[in-house]
Amino acid sequence: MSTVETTSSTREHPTEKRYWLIALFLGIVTAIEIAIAYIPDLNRTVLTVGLVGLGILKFGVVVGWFMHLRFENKTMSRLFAIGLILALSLFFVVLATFSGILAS
Amino acid sequence: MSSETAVHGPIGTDGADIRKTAMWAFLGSECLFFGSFIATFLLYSDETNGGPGTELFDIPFTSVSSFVLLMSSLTMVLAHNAYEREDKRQMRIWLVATALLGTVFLGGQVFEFTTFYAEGLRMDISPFGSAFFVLTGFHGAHVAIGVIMLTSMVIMSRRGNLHSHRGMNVELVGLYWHFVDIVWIVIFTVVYLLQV
Amino acid sequence: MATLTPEVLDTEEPGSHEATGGLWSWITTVDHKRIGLMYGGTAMFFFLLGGIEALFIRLQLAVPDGTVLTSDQYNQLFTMHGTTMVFLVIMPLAAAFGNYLLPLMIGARDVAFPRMNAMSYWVFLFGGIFLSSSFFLGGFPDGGWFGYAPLSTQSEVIRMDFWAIGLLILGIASLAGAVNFTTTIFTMRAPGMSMFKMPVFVWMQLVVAFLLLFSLPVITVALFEVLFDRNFGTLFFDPAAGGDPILYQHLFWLFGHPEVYILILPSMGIISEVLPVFSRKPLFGYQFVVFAGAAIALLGFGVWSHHMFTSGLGPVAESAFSLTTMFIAVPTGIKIFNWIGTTWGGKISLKTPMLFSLGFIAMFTIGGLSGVTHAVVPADTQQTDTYYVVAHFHYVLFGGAMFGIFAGIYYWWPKISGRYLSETLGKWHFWLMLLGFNLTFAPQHWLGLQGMARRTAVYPPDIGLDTLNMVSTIGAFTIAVSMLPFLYAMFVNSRKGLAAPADAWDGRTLEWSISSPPPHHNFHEVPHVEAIDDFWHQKYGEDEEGRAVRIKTFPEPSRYTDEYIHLPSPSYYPIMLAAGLVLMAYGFVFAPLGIPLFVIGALVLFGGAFGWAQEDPDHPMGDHADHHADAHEGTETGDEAQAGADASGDVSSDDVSSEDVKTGEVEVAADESGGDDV
Repeated sequence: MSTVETTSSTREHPTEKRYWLIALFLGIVTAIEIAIAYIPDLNRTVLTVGLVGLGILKFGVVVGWFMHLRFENKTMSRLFAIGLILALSLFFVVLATFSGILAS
Repeated sequence: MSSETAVHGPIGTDGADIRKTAMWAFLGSECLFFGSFIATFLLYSDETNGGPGTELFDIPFTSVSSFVLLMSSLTMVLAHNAYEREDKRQMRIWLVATALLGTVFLGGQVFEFTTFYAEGLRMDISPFGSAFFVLTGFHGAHVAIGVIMLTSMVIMSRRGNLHSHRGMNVELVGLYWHFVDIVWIVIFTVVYLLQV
Repeated sequence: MATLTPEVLDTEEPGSHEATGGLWSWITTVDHKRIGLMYGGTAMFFFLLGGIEALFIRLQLAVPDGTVLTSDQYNQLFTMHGTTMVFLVIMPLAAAFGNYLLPLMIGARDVAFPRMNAMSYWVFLFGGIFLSSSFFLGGFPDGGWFGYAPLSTQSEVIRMDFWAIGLLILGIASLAGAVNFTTTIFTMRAPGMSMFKMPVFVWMQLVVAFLLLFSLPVITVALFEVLFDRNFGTLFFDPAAGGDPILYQHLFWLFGHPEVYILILPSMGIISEVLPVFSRKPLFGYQFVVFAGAAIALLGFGVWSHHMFTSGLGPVAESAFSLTTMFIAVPTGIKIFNWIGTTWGGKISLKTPMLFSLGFIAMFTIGGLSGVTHAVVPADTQQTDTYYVVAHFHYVLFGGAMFGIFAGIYYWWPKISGRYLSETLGKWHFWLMLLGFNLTFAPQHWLGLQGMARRTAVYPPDIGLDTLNMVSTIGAFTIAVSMLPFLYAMFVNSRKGLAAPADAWDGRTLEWSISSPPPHHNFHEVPHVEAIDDFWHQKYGEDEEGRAVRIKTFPEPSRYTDEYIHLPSPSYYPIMLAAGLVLMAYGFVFAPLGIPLFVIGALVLFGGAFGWAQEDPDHPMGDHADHHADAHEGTETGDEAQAGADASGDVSSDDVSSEDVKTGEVEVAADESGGDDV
């Protein structure tokens, strides 16, 4: 904290062409998601893991590049990470108490 | 006034953009907001109370509107790119494009809600209906606020009144907009695709 | 590139638009010190209101089969007593201290977002008025301060709408405040003040801001769901349709338990500042106190279900939450030992702030210990909804949080006003309050264990509850009497008080290095910090035996400076935005009749936001171009330029990278050009 730096975030930022490629990638992932959802008789676990995995991938790409959190300082990514992790863990526990897993 | 400093807000003693730090804190908070609504939905996804359930979902239609919102993130990032180059005209074009894509998404949501109501899925018919409409409705409200902010930016820019240091700048609105997009990525996966 | 727009002067010259007097200057102020004072004054008013509500409750319960109140009135009063004390007293008092002291303690000229800070206050004030005005508009809310569904969703009258919307409004104020404080602490500390050189009070405010950030959205959702159930026919909490009221309990306590720490941690921060000063020793185990605070915050998110042990969570969940609840006693215990260790062997001076701090330790320990008993599920099953629980949380929230707040008031009042509060009156206040407090709440432990249920307006005679209830009521009135010397000291005697120097108590933190009352711009020069308690180490060195020896005496600092110091300009948009919000709230409650009011409110809100976005924070109140001539080339005041820009946060006229400042390149730009419109 004692060293003071000017953030020159423009330097590391992806180029315009890179943004288009990222968008193309996101579009393709979305198409795959929809395709997976339509595969008949797909094992439910495989479906869930596949869709959640692809969702996380899209989420990460948008946060990392479009929101350029990859290029920001640690304070910002930690603030967001705390919210994300708390939301996931707290509501996992809440739903678990309803599901009966914790009842026996 | 170098172009690099001009497009950013004030920098704190830790070297970080002060307002961007605040925006990320707010977005971290918003994770819990949408997390609560999504948890409510997951709890009630089968509580249809004899009314219609997820079989009403029209995945092809929602996929298209999801794609529209995803592409609005691209136009937003292009607007921000133009903003950093101080290319006002390009920036306004992409801002308008983003606002339009957001409006198309909202239109899609209105259409979807109307269809569901016609088919008997209402928010007062079952906890499932309540959870679905309130979750997607609050997301839609976020999109609408985003559209208002984007439009305001365009108007302010045209009047030469858009400054990096006043209120929200393009970068902050961009962060908000992308966040609304990633919330929809989660909703699309968890509420639509996984429930069918 | 920096712009020094020096139209805000700190000299009280006529024509300066930050002139000290006048209602308008308070309405439009963005000065964190004034906002802190307004927070404190408003919260103290609500404290008296909440206290009067408590007195009615105790009057009703003084004797069996009480007839002072009807059960309907009783329901309203205990609901509003709880809601007021939590949301309108302790939280805003913590915000008051945070506002006044954070920038002073970290060496900044203001918080990160001065206008947002003003908005927080006005939203809080209007929200509090909105909530309390329900008394005249159909009655206070009556569903208990945690508004359990379906009780809160099914009552026909609009009372619980006031409650839900009121809390939503107050949540906006708190959330904006939390974002503001988080950002201020992360980005605006004086050069050299690393995180582990911050005063503990600042640390605790940071922890509280985190807790608010991540718990408020959850209650926001719970309140929206209640509101929608009440007004739009949704079925979130209707068991007949498949809804589950237990979900409400989860959502409420996911907020509610972190909220408990939101209420107590600021006071823990306050006494961590007071104890070292009046023991003339550094805080024992600074790192432990800080880490314990952070650990409390983290664990605080993992114990919510101990409020729900009787709702049938199942043995696995109950055991898990029982364990986490016991665990959270560990960091709390660490703090208590650190405070005792701080006083150990110190040269203790029993001034009023110290008395309240020691009172805090004793009372909080009692409350903490009775709290641990709730972790044991079978015992908790017996204690739930009895006066034992009431006794417990009053020991931590009154004996703890409020005692800490009084310690803070007596401690920092000389800084705020330039005069000490009377020690004699202060000691009367403390001892009467300590006596009254214990008379009121100690008997409630026994009452609860004998089975007296909370939230019940009457109890029958001859079941062994009469005497203790009477004692409790006498205690409550003793507390009321103890407030008299305090109010007299604050409002009558404070002008005659002993004049206080800048360093009123031989303090350790930065706020004591500046004049009392502080300059409008806080610091003439932004300090460079090298150690924890930097100010103390500037004053004292050590001799061979490790005793503190005075090495330097500072001349009494002046309140004024000849320099022009850039400060954010006042704005009326924050109050406009807050007014729009509360108009919308009234409109909503009285829909459909209120719909026009709702629309007007929305327009005011939007107008405020749009004006805010376009306002040049450097001169929103009109043309101040004539001040340009006063611009000085600020090369040698680089630090001030930096702090000025930092202080203004969202509103500084331009960004100042610290490196620019170091090299002294400070450019005075014409306001109109701004140079960076895009």
